[in-house]
Amino acid sequence: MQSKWWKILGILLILYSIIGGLLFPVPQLNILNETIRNLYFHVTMWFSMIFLMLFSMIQSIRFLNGFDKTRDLKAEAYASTGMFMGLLGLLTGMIWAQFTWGTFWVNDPKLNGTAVTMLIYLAYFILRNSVENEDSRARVSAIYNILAFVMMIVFIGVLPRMTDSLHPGNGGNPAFGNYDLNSSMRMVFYPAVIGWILLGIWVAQLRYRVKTLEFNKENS
Amino acid sequence: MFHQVKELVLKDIRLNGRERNALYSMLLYVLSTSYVAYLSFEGVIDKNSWVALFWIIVLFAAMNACLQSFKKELNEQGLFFYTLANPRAIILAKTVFNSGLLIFLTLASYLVYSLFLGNPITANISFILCIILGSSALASVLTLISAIASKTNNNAGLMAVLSMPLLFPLLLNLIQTSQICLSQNNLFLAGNQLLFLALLNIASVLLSYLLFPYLWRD
Repeated sequence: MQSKWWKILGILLILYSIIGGLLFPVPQLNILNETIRNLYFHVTMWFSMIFLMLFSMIQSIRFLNGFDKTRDLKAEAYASTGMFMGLLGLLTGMIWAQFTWGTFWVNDPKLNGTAVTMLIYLAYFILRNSVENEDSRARVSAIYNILAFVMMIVFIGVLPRMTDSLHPGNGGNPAFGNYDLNSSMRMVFYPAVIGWILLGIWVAQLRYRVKTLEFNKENS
Repeated sequence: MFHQVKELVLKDIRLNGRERNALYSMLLYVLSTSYVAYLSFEGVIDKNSWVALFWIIVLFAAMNACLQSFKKELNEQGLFFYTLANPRAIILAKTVFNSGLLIFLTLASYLVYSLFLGNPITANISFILCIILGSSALASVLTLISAIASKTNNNAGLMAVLSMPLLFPLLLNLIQTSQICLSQNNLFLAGNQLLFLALLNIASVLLSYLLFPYLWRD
């Protein structure tokens, strides 16, 4: 992961998605109108967050297999970057909601799932800070991280499908795949998802390296 | 393994029988919160708020009940337990015991609560099923969380912070299921929700089973 090509690829894909997202033709839909372009920025944040949380959980599992300290630092870096992506997704979503649904916040299963996810990961960071012993801190937070990820998937993946939602694809609202994510939107959307995931990994790696330097400084 | 689980559950039951004030204090908690709810909501409560208030009372009672689960196991005595039993047997036994305890507590609070505030539930079988599945799901999540929280300095405060977001969707699901039980006396209408509760039970028990040994070894 030291090589540069995927970082450059990520930046290029994001640049492409910003330019393409603002200029390429989009379907004209009622209510949504031009705000549909927010799809490239709002939904991609969630994809990026989920992937970063997944990497964080994988690092936690690998930590429990051998108790290698660096894995714990990596898990923390991925989780905090994912949290930041989630915050951006929340903000873009709130702005979008203001212009389409009329309020910044509605009582919607997906929004509840998001709020819960944020709370779960905030609790994860609080847990990390409240264990003094470093060995048991790493172990306890790895366990909570795995538990948190599984529960998060249940909340945002399973629970919204059991109830109605304002979001597309639930409770009679057709999904994007059905009618409005046409081929020209896909041309921007999928590269944007990959680009933001790559950027997220890059940021997480930088954060991990800073943490490692701090860790080494404290222990030297 | 199963023999160990059985013995550990019996040990917990015997310990609780010997120190009964823990159980009495939980029952008193349920009684007094129900009475507070009665004083503040009598006459003004509608069916949906009845359900929501009931599950909130149960949630806090459950958190209180599970808070001390690992008081004895994860200190010096823990080393002794470690030589005696498989950690997986310990967590399974705790989960079984806490599930039993919470099912009993929830049924007790259902009784007390409906005594004070009336009982609008029409689908009794579904609601009892919902109580049993819901309490055991609460117990299995809270048992693992209390094991995690007992490793930290701020046990009680952290327990609430860690478990509340994890239990929030479970609580929403319980409230939804109970609201279905308010209107129709049909087992199949709440079937999907009950299935979800059962799956959540299985998932959280499986996670405790897989993760607890790592927490245990220190």
